[in-house]
Amino acid sequence: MEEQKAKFGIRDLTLFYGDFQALKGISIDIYAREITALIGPSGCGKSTFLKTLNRMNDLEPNVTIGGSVLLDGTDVYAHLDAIELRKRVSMVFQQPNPFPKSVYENVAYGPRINGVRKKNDLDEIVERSLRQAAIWDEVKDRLHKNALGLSGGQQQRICIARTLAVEPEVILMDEPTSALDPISTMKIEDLAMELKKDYTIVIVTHNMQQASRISDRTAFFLLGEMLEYDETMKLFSTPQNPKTEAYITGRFG
Amino acid sequence: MSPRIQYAKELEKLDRDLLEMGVALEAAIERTALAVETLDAALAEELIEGDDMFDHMERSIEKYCIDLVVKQAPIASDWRRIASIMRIVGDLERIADHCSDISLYVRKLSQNPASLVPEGLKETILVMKSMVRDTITAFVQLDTKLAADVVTRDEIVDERFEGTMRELCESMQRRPDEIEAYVDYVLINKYIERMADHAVNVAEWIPYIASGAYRM
Amino acid sequence: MRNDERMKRRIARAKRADAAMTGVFYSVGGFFLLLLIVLAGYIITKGVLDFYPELLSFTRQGIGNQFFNTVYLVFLSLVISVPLGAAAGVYMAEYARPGKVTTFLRICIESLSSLPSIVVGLFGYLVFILMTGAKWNLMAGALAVSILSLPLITTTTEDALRSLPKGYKEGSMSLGATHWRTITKVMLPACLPRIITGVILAAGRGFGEAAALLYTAGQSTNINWSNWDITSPTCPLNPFRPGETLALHIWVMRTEGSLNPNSAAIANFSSAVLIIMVLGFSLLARMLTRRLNKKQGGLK
Repeated sequence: MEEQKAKFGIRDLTLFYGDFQALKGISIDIYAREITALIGPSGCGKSTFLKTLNRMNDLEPNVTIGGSVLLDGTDVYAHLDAIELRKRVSMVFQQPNPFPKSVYENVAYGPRINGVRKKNDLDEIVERSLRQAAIWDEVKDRLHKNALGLSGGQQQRICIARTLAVEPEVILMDEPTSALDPISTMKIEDLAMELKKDYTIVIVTHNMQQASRISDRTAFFLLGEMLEYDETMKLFSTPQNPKTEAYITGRFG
Repeated sequence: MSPRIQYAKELEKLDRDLLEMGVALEAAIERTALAVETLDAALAEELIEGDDMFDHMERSIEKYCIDLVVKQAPIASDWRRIASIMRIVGDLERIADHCSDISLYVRKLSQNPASLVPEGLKETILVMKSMVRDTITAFVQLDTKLAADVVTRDEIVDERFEGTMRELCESMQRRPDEIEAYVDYVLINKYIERMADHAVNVAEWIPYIASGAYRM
Repeated sequence: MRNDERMKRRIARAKRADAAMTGVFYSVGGFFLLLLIVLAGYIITKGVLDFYPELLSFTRQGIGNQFFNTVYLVFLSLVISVPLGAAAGVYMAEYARPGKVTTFLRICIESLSSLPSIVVGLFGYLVFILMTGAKWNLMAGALAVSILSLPLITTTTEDALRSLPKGYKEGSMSLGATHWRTITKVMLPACLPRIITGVILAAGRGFGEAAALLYTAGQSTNINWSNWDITSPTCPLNPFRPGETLALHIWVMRTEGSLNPNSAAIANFSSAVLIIMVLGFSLLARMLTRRLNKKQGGLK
């Protein structure tokens, strides 16, 4: 592997919800233009970890964070504004959450925040984002109809288009397909693999086949620690840590 | 109790079936050696018919593996093992085939024996037999050292193969009237050498199962 | 066999109890329906029967002016209580941190809503009339009614915000929007149906207020419809003039208004109008909610 610069450098990251320690000293490098998958059983801290990357943890009460998260070398907590950060690091959630507005308004929301006013500019951004999210053809004739009228898989792609419209560098995905049917899941996996050419993607998933299908690197979390992090093919064919092996073969014993 | 109980049972069955085939194979090789030694036509006949059993075993294990993959989507060491077994079972079946092939020539020789029997064959067969036995043991115990040792023993077989070939050429020159018999022995010699090669093939999968070191 | 028999009897008994209770619930529902129909029906019918065209006039003989006052007063009270109440609701839902102060605040708001109207009215009299040295006026009445509708709007707004799917806020914040922007551009618009319903219900209550307006808005009204100088006490749009509302008018007619030969008819008709207004607003609230909900795509 050639020398790659890390997009995210995380060192000794710890996180407490009140007295409960959810993350116990995580250190990991996440590389640009790759899909990094985070796997592990429920409650292992992978979603919590994901949310530290765009400071969505700030929204929850009683959170204490230690260690450092560096984005392109800049400390995300000490030296970056959370609002600015979230324009560069966007997120797609487990439950598709389009706003109760039209498809157009949903996708235009981000650019509008960033000051884009002219209708022509907005139209262009909306179309481009919807095309990138592979859903333009399905919604181009109902752009001004409510987004909630679409199916779950379509709504999720609208949410992806919505994040693409702010032109982030990193897209975080928190179990984006666990609420969707298999075909929608496949479409979104294909989409992720397309997007990784231009964006850095970090995806939390319960589905190990999904991780092995689409990710370049995989990290295994257990009880707040990261036990193994390697190229996906290596981790899934010859895991070094026996706990990793036990988890991925489904036999905890 | 770990989850995926059904899966664990299925993996155990696979191991048992393969071991059964291995044990049967060792017995077949033992009897083939005896047949070559004694030129017993009746024994040869049994061995020729016995090959069907091995064909059946190979197909059944292969199909079982294919179905297991579809059903259980194995990964990591499970998958390395199953993928290897699918290849190993092919090599074991070829070894069994060669027992039958050798027996065909034993049968011929029993009716038309040679006077200058190549003495070295017995020894070569012993080495080959030990290779097959040890490679199966190494598989069961995932003993990479033993597997490596099996690979080195192949050199011995190859040397002995060359030696026996020279001996047989000489015999053909000295007793041209018995040339057919010596040609039969040539073929038997070759089959033995092939059986050792197949044992090596099996041994090469063992490091992969144990630690992911692919035989490239 | 015996167990089967027992089972059958048990099931039969359960079914009978079920049928009986279903009957009870239907009766209760029917009772309420009947109550409303009888009450409203009686009042409206009596009012309509006593109707004569002059009643609709905007003069001393008619109730037009009182009608206008009612609407105007409620409008003024909404202008005050809606922004304030919505802001308080936003604060309680989005900014207040759980703790003693917030709990105390919540108790205050809840208590406000259960204050007796007459007490609020007298408080209004004290603060908005006596302490300011003013005469009875609409604004004072509007302020008194605001005190009563404020908690309703606050609670409606807070509940509406809290019942939103967390995903809206998360989605907006994760795109780099500030908290404020998320509230104004995503959360409040999503709550609009519920908030509007709350506002309309508050308005409906305001129409019927009498006790709070007794000593604030006054029991008389003198409007000159040709006078549009807003500073003049007879201009319709001047909020600082006395303005008797429909509800008060009914009261006046049935007590002091015995001087007026038509007082009974006036009171009856006013009651009918008031009931129709309140019922109408209730229906309006429902219809609007349904339409707005459809627009937002099947929100709960």
